[in-house]
Amino acid sequence: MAKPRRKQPRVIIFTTPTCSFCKAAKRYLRARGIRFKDVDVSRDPVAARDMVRRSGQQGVPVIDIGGKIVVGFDRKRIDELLNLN
Amino acid sequence: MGLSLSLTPGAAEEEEKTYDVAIIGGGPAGTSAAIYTARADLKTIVIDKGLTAGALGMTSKIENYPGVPEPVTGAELVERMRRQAERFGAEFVQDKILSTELEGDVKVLWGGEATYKARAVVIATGSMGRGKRVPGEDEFLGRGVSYCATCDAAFFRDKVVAVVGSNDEAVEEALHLTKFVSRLHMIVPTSEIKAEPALVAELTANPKVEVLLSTRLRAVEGNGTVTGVRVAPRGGDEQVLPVHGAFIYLQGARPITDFLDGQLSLSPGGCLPVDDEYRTEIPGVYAVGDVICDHVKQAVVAAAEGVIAALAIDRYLHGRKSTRADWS
Repeated sequence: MAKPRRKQPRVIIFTTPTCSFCKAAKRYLRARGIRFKDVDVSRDPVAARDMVRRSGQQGVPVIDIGGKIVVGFDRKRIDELLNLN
Repeated sequence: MGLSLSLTPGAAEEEEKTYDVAIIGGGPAGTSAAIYTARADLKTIVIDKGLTAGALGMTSKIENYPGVPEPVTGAELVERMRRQAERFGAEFVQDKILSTELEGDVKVLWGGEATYKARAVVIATGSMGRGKRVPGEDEFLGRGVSYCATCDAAFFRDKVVAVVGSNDEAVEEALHLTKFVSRLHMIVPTSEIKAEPALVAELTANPKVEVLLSTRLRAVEGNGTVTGVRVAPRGGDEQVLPVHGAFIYLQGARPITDFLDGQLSLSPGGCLPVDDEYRTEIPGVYAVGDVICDHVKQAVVAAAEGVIAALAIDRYLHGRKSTRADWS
């Protein structure tokens, strides 16, 4: 069951389709009722460059939560920034 | 377009099953636990990275496993144990657990392919984790150093990369990279690539790939991002190969516990302390095999530990104080 919608920061997750950490991170966000935009950097070189510029990272997943960057599937940091728990 | 659809929470979420027992690691310890829990009618799932991923699975010949007099490969022995567990109803899936929530009555395991829920968890992940990093590796992680080509290959389109390792995973990841990069140096510490022959043949036939056998990774060099890897061929001089990316798949002898996210305390050597029934400090969470402390690294010992844990789990889940002997 989806949780009721609530006010949340804008969440963008940069991913590639074959990345297991990305899949897990997206599943985690969905399970916590978080709405997000999924950017597939393997199909969009401009988005990939934008992600590298914003995060300094050449790896995914990178999650932008209201302008703050989370590198990898870091549940603790995701929970912190989204006030989950 | 880079931005794809905005997802509705829960819309794409598949219904998750809750198991009685989820076992992380399908080597002799995990599989033996599964034989016993499945046979005790506990709904059991074993989540494993791959048949040849562990210490037994990659052993070429086993001659001292009781009841198996003819020499068999480790992978064959593991396969037989799995068939036995499956006969009692245990489910096996190929996946890697990336993160876990172990407190509470229902534990949640976040895998790359699915999320698993279970009332009891057995950690049987072995001790082939990597210990020491080479200089530059941590500094350039995410800036050219990666442990996941299937994640990050797209950032290295038309670039030169190095892949370091000598197992199925290293070769599979290198093959994935060849679709993106202009050139790939395969740095192999052993005198041959210890992986599935068909995979090795596919890799070596690829014109983008140069294989360097008996060569060790000494350091990752860079300036903001990776610019090269320093390698040492056996008996030769160190050299720096100019690369933009270094994908590292080396194994070691450290217990694999990264997915625990610090929920269980570890010994200074990185192993999991357990009691005499292989219970960890979190109720419902057990650990067996090479991942635990004070363990004799033999398949038959790992199997026995799996069985003791399975009996304890049966008791834990049924709220019994004493073990029900399985004499049949």
